[in-house]
Amino acid sequence: MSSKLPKPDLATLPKKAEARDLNFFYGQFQALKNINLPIHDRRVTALIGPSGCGKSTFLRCFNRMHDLYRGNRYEGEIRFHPDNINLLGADIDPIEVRMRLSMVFQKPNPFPKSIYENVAYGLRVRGVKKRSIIDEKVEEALTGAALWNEVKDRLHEQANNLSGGQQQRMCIARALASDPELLLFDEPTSALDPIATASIEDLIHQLKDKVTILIVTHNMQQAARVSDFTAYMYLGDLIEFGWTDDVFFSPTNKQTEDYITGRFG
Amino acid sequence: MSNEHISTQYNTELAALRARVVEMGAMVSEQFRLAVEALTSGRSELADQVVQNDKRVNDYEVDIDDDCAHLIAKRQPAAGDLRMVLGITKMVTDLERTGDKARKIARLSGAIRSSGVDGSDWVASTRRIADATRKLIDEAVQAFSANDIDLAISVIRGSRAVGRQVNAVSSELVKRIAETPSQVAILLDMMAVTKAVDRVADHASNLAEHLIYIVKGTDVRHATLDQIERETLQR
Repeated sequence: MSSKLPKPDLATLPKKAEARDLNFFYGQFQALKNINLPIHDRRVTALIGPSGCGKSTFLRCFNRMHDLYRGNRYEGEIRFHPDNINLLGADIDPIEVRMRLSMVFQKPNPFPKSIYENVAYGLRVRGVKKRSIIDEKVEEALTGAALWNEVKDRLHEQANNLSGGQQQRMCIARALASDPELLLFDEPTSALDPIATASIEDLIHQLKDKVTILIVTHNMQQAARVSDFTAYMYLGDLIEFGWTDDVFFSPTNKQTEDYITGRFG
Repeated sequence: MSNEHISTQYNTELAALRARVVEMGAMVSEQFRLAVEALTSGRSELADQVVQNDKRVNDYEVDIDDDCAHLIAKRQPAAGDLRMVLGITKMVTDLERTGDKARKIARLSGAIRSSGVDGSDWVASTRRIADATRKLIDEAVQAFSANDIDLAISVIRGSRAVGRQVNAVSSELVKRIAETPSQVAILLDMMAVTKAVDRVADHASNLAEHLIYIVKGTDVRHATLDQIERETLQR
């Protein structure tokens, strides 16, 4: 019998956000089915599942990206703490929502600007004008994204000149510069080589002390390595949610076991 | 874990690994049978055969461990597959040590038989306990082969029963040592055989515990029988 301390009870862990009876429709097609899922505060939650399971759809509900297309429809709530607002509420401005969350995409998407201007972009949109504040924030964000030492002498070069891994870390710095409460990662390393992937994963470990992270990944070993919690989704349903250690070692659901052991997917 | 992986090659590798463990189990069980037969029949050629075959048992352990290491490196098994590979690396250690005990019994059998010390009662008791013990090894391997938790629990229970019988035989030997100190060397050899049989039953119990870990994900080493039954019922 093990002498390890039992893991804390999930019900007692603080939540940053929580999906409640969340349904999502692309026109007639229902992509999310009654999802109830906590996103624990300053922890990493990984969403895994085969293509078409709804994991990216779920992620994009948080920053209301689906609002950009007509015919998309939400039902249910995503509660955002500590103020307990419903991110999907009709009274909530999606722009306001996006001020509090940042997203990093599959492929690095630098703006055709300098490294400095890329990272400063969010601050300028927010109306920050004072040069010293922006300088400080840019350095802080690039340091946080483990890129500062590599680019501090070339901040005004075009961001496109950076390597793929550096571009992605710059995008993370851009996301961090606006002090988000929740970071959304949509397969952040799928376009990167193993070394760049390792540095991003390392970064995720460092960031979780400060910010809550929700990550979609096709790489199951990555989910196992970087996350505290794992949610397995299939065809729009949440099949299993739990501590990553448990899900990857002894999942309670047969479907989850089949997926993570490569029997299905 | 009944259905197949998407990668048929992965299926083949896992099935081959399991088959090797079952083969090793059968071989170790036969080694133990021959060793006890050498003791009870006095046929020294059987004892020689056990000693010679022990190298093959050792090779099985090394090869299966190596296969496990390569499978982890290449496939990064998860969940039940990972537990199976980890469990197998522990099972082969128990099987190899069972083989060592068989060799020990075989080696001591010659001296005991040729000593002239009357050991007929002791041989009969040892035979009876060893037959029960060999059944435990076979059942532990069968439980692994069929992922049969109930059979595994029955092996653990059986191993504890063997332990009680061994204690009775050991007490008898201690009494004889006190009564006939001139025979102490041979009586200590007999004691070593009795203890070796006891250890084999312990290894069978370990095999069953590893299987519970593989199938249920629960580590039941050092647990009481009651705890094991409760844990396995829970999940």
